[in-house]
Amino acid sequence: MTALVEARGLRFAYGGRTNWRRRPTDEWALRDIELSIARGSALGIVGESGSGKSTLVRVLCGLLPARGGSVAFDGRDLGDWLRTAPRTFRRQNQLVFQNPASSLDPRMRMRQSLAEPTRALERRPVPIEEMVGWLAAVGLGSEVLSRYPHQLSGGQLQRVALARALSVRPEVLYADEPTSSVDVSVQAQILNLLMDLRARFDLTLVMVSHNLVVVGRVCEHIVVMRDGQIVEQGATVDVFDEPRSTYTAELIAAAESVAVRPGT
Amino acid sequence: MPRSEPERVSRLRGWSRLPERSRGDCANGRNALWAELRALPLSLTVGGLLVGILVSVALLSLVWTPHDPIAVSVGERLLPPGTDGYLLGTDRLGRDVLSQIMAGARNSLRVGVVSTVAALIPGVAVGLAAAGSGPFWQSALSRITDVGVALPGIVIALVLATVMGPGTTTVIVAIVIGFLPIVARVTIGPAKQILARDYVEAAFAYGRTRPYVLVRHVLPNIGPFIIVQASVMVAVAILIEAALSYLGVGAQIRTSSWGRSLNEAQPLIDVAPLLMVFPGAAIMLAVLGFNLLGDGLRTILDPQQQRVEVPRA
Amino acid sequence: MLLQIRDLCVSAGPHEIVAIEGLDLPAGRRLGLVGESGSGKTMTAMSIAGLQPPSIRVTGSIRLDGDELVGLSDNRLARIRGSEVGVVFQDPLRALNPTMRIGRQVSEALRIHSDLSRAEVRRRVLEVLLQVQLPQPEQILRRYPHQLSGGQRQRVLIATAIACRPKLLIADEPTTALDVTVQKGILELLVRLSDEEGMALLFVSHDLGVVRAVTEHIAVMYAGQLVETGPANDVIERPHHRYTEALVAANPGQIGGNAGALVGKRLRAIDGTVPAVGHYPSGCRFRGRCPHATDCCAEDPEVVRVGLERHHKCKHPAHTLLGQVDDGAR
Repeated sequence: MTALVEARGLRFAYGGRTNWRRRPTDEWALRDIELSIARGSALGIVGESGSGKSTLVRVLCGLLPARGGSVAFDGRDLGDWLRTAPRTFRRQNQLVFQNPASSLDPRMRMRQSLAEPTRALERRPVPIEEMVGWLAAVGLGSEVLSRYPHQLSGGQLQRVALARALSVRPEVLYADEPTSSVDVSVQAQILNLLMDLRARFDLTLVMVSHNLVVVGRVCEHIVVMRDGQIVEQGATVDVFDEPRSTYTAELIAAAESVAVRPGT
Repeated sequence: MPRSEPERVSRLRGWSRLPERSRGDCANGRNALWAELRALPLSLTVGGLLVGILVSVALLSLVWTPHDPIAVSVGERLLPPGTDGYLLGTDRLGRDVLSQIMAGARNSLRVGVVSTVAALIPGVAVGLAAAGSGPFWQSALSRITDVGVALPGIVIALVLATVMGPGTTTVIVAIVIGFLPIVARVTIGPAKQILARDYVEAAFAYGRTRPYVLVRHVLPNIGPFIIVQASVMVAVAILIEAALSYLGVGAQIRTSSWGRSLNEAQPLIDVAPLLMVFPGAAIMLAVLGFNLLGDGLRTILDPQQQRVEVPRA
Repeated sequence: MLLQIRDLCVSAGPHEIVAIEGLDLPAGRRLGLVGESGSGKTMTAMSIAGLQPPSIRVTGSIRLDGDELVGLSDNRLARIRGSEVGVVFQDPLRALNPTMRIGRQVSEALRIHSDLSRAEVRRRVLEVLLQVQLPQPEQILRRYPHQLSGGQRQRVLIATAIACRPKLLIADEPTTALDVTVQKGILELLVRLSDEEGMALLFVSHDLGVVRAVTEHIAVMYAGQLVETGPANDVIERPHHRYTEALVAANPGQIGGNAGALVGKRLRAIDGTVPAVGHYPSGCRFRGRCPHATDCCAEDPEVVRVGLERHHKCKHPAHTLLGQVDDGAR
C-alpha cells in the first residue's frame, strides 16, 4: 500500500523562529521522527505525558510547522500543500480532541459548530437535512442541533465532534486521546463508533492515546514515543508480544497490572 | 465458588423517599419571579436598581425637570430644601438644585457611556489583534500601554483643555485616551486564554483564518468579561468627569454637572452645607451603582458559578 | 468495624443523589468504591469526609470507630478530618497551594491537630516524606508545587493526608491524571502504607482494574445506589449484578495472551446512558439498559446475599446457581 503520510527526519520545537537553529538537543519536542502511514490503516501513537505524541499529530495535520525534516501527504510536501492548496489539505486531514466539551465553542449551538468546517473549507452553507444525516451516522438525533455544549453529555459531545470532523469527508482522521475523558462504558461506544466510521468511510485513522489497551483494540499498527522520539514501531500484535525496547516492556507491564479482561 | 442457594435477607430498613416538589407548587407566576429575583446576587439587584434609577432620571430630564436647570433667579438664591416648589432648594444663583441634579445625571451618563464605548471598541480591537499576534507585537503593545498607563490622566485632560478648550467633549477625549491602553492590555489576557482553548485549535484545523477566529470565537467568549469591564469603566468615567468639572475643565456653564455643582457649593459650606451633599451623594450613588452592577454581572456571568447544578458524582 | 454506613442519603433539594443501605470497612482493610460518572461515588466519599458542598443534605448514619459523623458541626468535622480521616484528591496541582512551600503544606495538619513542637513537626514531616518515597526530603521541603512532577505532587498530597496517622484514608481518583508507570508506583505506595500503618483505605475510582490492584473488596455503584459488593477479584471475574457484568465486558481488555485476536473487534458497549439525577427510574435503575430486565425489575430490588461476602441487588443475576454462568432466564 502506498504511504499516505510520510515523515522523514522530522523535528519540532516550540518557541519563536529566532533561535531554533541554536537549540540544544534536549529542547526539541520532536526529534528524528521517521514514520510511514499507509492509506486505510489504523495507527496508534502511544506514550506518556511529554512524549510528544500530541505534538506529532499536530505537525502531521498542519497545525504546527515542522522545524526540520519533512512531512509528505499523498506524495507532496506538507509545506507545499499549505502554501498552494491549504483548504484541500485541511479537508482531507481532520482532528478530534481529547476533551469534547472544550473542542466546541460554548457559545455556539451544535448546528453552528457542525457547519463550520463545511463553511470554511467548502465555502457553502449546510442544509439542515445534511446535518441530520451526519448526526445519524454517529448515532445522534436531530434534537441535538439546537443545543449548546453544556447541555450535552461527554459521550454526545464526542459524537458531535466526530460528526463535525467527518462532515468534510477527510482521508485521514487524527484522534487525540478520544476516550481519555469519558467512562469505560462510553469509551466502548466511542471506540465502536470509530471502528464503524473507519470501515464505512474508508478512513485512515491515527489515534493518540496513553492507554495501550485501547490502542491495542483499535489499531493494527503502533508507534511508541518517549521524550520526543519514536522508541519502537510496528504491528501492534508484534510490539505487544515481543517488545524490543525495555521502555515499551515497562509500559506494557504497567498497563497489564490494571487491565481487566472483558470476561467470558 | 458459592454452591449454596442465595439467602434472601429481609428488606433492610428502607429510607423514606423524599417528597417530590412538583412544578405546580410555585402556583402563580409572581412567586416564581420573586424567587428568581431573590436568587440573583445582591450586588446585581442593588446595582441594577441604582443604575436603573440613574438612567430613568436622565431620560426624564430630557423631557421634564421641575424648573429649567440653568435658569438664574437671583431673587430666590440659597433657598433651603423643602421650600415650596424647590424640593432640594436652590443654589447661589437661584437655580433649582433638583433640576440640576437631574440634568447632571444626563451629563454624567452621557460622558460615562460615550467614553466607555469609544474606548472599548478600538481598545478591544487592539487587544485582540495583539493576542493573536506573535510575542513581538505583544511586547510592543505592553510597552506602549505601560507608557500610556503611566501618564497622569488629569494632566492630559488639562493639556487637552488648553488645546481644545474646556467642555464635555474635551473630557470625553481625555477619558478615552486614558482608557485605551488599559482596555487593550486588559483584553489580552482573557483573549489569550480563549486562544489556547481546543475549540480555537479546532477552528484552525478546519481552515479558519486568524481574524475570523478572533472575531467569531474569541470575542464572543470574552464578551462577559468585557461587559463587566464596561460597567466599571462607566463608574470610573463618571468620577473622572466629576473631578474634571470640579476643576473647571469639564462641563461649562450651560451644561449641568455634578462636579461643577460641587465646586460651586464649596465656598458656601458654612451658609448652605446641603448644597454639597446632593451632588456628592449623586456621584457616589452613580459610581456605586455601576460598580455593584459590574460586580453582580461578574458573579452571574462567571461560568464557574453557574446556577448550582446537581454536582456530577 | 472502622467505618459503618447505614441508610445514607445524600440529596440536593428534592433530588436524591446517593442512597446506600449499608457499607462496612473494617480497620486496616482496603475497600474500592467503583462507579462511572453519575454513580454518586465521589459524593459518597465527600460526604464521609464532611466535604460535600453546603447545598447538599446528608442524612443517615456514618460511624467512624463508633462515633457518628452525620450532623456534626463543621468544627468537629474539621478536627476529625485532619487527625482521623485523610483525604487525597484527584488533581494534585489544584489541591496544593502554589504559593506555599511543600514543607509548610504538609505540616499544616500537624500544626493544627497536634501539639508537637516545631522541631517535632519538622521531624514528622521529613519522616512522612520519606515514607512516601520522595527522594531528598530536606530539599523537597523547600520547593514549591510547580517544581515537582505530577507523581511527586501526588506523593506530597498523600504525605499531607497521612501526617497525623489517620485511621482512614479516602483517595478519590488519585491516579487518574497520572501516567501509567507513575500510577503503578502510587498504587503500590498506597497498599504499602495501608499495610504498614494499619490504615484503612477507601479508594474511589471509575477504573475497575486500578481498584483491583489496590483493594481487597469492592463496592460497585450505579446511579446513586450500591449494586454489588464483594472481594475484588471475585466480583470482576464472576459479577452478579448485570451492570457489573456489563461494565467488565465493556473493558477493552488485556495486552498479553491472545490480544491479537481482539484487534478491530467491536467492544461490548452498554446501550443507553446513565440516568441523570432526578430522573431515576423506579425499581432497578439499570433496567432501562439491561438486556435481562423483565417486568419484575420495576419493583425495588432487595439486597441478596451470596455466600459470606457477596451482596447484590439484582433479580436476574449472573454467575449464581452452582457457579455456572446464569443467563438470567428465571
